[in-house]
Amino acid sequence: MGAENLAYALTQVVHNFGAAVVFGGAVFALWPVSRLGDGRQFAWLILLAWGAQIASGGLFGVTSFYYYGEMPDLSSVAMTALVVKVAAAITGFLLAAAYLARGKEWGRASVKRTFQGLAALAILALTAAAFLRWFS
Amino acid sequence: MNQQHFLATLALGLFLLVPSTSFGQGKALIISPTDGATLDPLDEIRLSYEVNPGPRGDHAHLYIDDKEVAILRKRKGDYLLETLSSGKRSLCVKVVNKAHVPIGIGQCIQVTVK
Repeated sequence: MGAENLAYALTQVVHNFGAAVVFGGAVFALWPVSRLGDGRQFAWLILLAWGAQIASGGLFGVTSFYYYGEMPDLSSVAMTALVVKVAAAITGFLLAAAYLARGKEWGRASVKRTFQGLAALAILALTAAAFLRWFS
Repeated sequence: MNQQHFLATLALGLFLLVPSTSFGQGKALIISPTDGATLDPLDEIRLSYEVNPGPRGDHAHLYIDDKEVAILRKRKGDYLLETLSSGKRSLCVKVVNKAHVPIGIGQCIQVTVK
């Protein structure tokens, strides 16, 4: 039981800090003052955090499968929340990657919209996470 | 390695290695209806249960024909079965962990709805 709980807890640590960074990174780049001049540094941080979210989310499933041979049982509401969360994470990852690949050619308004989009995706994922947690 | 370091390492090792069975098992019981019961859909059908999640479990899920229909957070209680259509139905209560994974503790019964 100790090893199992430790595996879940360490995965949760990565997942929690990932959530903090995807939201905090995007918001801090925009507010209370614009830091879009350092947008690439923020985007790298956000890209890595979304990657950590995806990896740790998958690791929850792997841990469950390793210890019990099956995946979590989710209600229809929770499954919908999971789909929303995964979609937000993949979109966030791709948006941050797109900015890092081509953002130098983008205007300031586009860059601002990108970070607003990243913040919105983080809010969506965090909201879905609450429904996933309590509707299962 | 000093003595304090050795004891801390030993304690961590024991914590990780002690099997769960030594902490006792949980249980999940369906008190009513009974296995094989015939139910009248015009009656109010309540499932009465008792759950002890044990050291690995957190709460329980209720399933009708393998489909999750409810989360049972109370250790003991009733759940109104509103959607039982006629025919043979399988009712299961399974203990799950915090990640909502069934941990192998549960009870399933078969009932017939007229």
